[in-house]
Amino acid sequence: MGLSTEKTGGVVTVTLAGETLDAGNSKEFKAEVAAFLTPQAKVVFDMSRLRFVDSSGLGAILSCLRQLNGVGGDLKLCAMTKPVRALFELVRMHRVFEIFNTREEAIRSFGG
Amino acid sequence: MTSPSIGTGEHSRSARVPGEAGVLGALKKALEPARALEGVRVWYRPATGAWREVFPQEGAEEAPPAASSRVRVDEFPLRPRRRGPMLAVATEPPAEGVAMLVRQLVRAVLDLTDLEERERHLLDELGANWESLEALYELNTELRAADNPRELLDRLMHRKVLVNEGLSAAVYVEAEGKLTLQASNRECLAATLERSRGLVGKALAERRTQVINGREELDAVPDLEPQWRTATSVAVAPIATRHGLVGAFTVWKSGHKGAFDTPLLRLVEALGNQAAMIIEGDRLNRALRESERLRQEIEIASSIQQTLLLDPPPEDLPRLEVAAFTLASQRIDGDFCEFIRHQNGAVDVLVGDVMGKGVPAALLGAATKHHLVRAMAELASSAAQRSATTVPPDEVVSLAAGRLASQLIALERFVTLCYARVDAEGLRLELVDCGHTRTIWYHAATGECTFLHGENLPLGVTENEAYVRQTATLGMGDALLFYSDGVTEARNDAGEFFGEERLAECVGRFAGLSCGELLERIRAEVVTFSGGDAFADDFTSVAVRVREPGANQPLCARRAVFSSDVEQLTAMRSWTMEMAAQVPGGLGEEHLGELELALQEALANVVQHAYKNPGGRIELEADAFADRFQVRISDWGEPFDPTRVLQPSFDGSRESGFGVYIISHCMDHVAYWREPDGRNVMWMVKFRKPDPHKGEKPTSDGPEH
Repeated sequence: MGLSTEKTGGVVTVTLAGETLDAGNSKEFKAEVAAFLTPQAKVVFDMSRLRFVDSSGLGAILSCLRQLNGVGGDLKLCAMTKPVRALFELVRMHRVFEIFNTREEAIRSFGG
Repeated sequence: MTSPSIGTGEHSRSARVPGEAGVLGALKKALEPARALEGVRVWYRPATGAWREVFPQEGAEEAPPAASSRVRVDEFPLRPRRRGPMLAVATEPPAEGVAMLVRQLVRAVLDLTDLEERERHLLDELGANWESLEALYELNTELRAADNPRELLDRLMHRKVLVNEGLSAAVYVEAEGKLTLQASNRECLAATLERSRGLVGKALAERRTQVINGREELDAVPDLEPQWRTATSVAVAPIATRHGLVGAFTVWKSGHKGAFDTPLLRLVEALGNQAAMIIEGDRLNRALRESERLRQEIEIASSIQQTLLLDPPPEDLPRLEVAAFTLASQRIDGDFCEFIRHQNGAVDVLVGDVMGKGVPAALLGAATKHHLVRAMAELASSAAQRSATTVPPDEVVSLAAGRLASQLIALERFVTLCYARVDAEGLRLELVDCGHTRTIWYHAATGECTFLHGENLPLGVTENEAYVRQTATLGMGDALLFYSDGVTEARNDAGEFFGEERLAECVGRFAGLSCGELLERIRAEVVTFSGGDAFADDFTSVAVRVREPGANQPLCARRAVFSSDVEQLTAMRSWTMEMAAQVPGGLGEEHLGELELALQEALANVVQHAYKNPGGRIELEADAFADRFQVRISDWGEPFDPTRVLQPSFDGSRESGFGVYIISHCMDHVAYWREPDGRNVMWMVKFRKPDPHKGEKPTSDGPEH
């Protein structure tokens, strides 16, 4: 799907480039993002471009969180569009993930 | 069956094993008209071997069903008194008249084949002594089509074998207590004979063929029949069938040389046997005609039902959607329904059920319906004179019931009735329930079903009963289901009723479908439950729904076919979302998002689970209505009911299992079913307005479950 990354201090921000993360590309996404799920990694997913996520896409993001948590790292999400936020709320994943309105807030949250 | 009076050797005993093909062939032919009766199946088991079905279709090796309340099973040994081949006849449902006829048919076939067997044995002994042996066989085949027994007996009399030998022959068959001449190759014979006198009397009394040679010997017979006073040899064979001694076959000659010998005796017995077969064949044909008559009665009752009892539901009502589904059982209950439209847009729905079966019940149903409609018309015209707008339904029922009561009581019949007036404009329901099944009321606001039940007695229980009505306020989108007890009293193999709870659950599950489709789903559920669609009772169901004006017809309806592939998901989603945009005023941004999500989950289920490999057919049907959008996804893959999957885990411990939950929370109605051709249908509706049952949808600050 194409990922772009930016390093700010110790935090890696991954921007999910496509508009869609669903059954059609979630496997591909998992393979691409695996490189950033390293021990103690502090990762932020910038979701501002994603317009549509389905349960497969959500499952993929959830798997990233669990992998990072397993190796002492953490994942935070930011800049969700409305429909994506609706999905996260529907399946109550807003209580599992830390979600921030902006990328800066997300990065800052690691500093504290 | 009595044994032949002349000794049997080892050879002939072995020849008595019945020909399986013969019995089965005759049986299938005889049962042919029973195909029209449905629910009649016949199994055959050879002396050594397994059961298998032989009628209406040749089936695999399988035992007949065990007898139960749903199935009547009769077994018939082909060879009495020892373990031998067996027939079993299952009648489902166990309609007594049908079962009796089938039993008669099977017995008659067995009698007939028994006689044939005996004849074969006699012919074996006759051997080649008689050049006309072939002629005997020839008649055998004619017997199969015996429609005129007299003509066949007559042909028996004019056999070359008899004529060549200069033999006279006559056959007498019992009718009204006397032996009556049926056929002969001589004239001037007595029209009737006494069955207890003379040589015939002796043959019948001893149940064996009598042969007398010589004038003196004949003269010694007490009360010898006058027609044999000049004969020199006489042979009389009793005609025996399973129903007893039914007549006598007589052969004689006068003045010719030679006495009647053993071969001639055998011939007379063989011919006597053929006469018995002709008579038995005639009995069989009569039984068949009787079954035909029964079938016709069913048809008459059924056509009464279709034309007089069942009214087509009104279709062009602006705010009401009405559908009816009926299926007449083999027994015809006299279920009826009627729809009466009023000026103000209200509709009266009358659903009734006559206690009893067949043509009488159907006619009584028609009479009841007639009285109700007549009472309505009379009261309406007098109300118009008083400038009253409508006639209360309880008054209609009371007037009609008053006129019917004495007749119904005299006939010891009663009628249950549900008279409902649905006023879509005022969202008002008036109901007069007279002992009918409880009406199911689907509440659109909560998605729940409740029952409506009145206290009135059925029509025909007491005279001068005052019928009372109850009223209720309906909600927009509410639906009502009226039905006959044939629906709830359908049984499964364990003997359990389908029941009103299961029916209400069905209504709730499929309430979002159109009324016609809702009834079709109910029918399919009952069929699945009871394991067949041959219902014991009439199956009548009527569904009524209150809707916004114009909500019954789609503004735009389209269909598209896609190939199952993950790559196609986006295309399928876009196609459907374009259709959703046709709903006037739009569904709203948030609702569109939910629709798209639900679609995606449903389609991904098909692509990833229903079909194991890409390329399967996926059909999308989308309908945009004034108030809602509905989409139907069909596939022909593995069945999977997403509406029956457990809750997912919300704590992040599992990465999958959210799909079904998402679908059911994003759509207002979801239904799944599998059709007989293997089509799996997932059907979903999204309303334009915020749906009331979204109140329980979790939000960011909603309570955790």
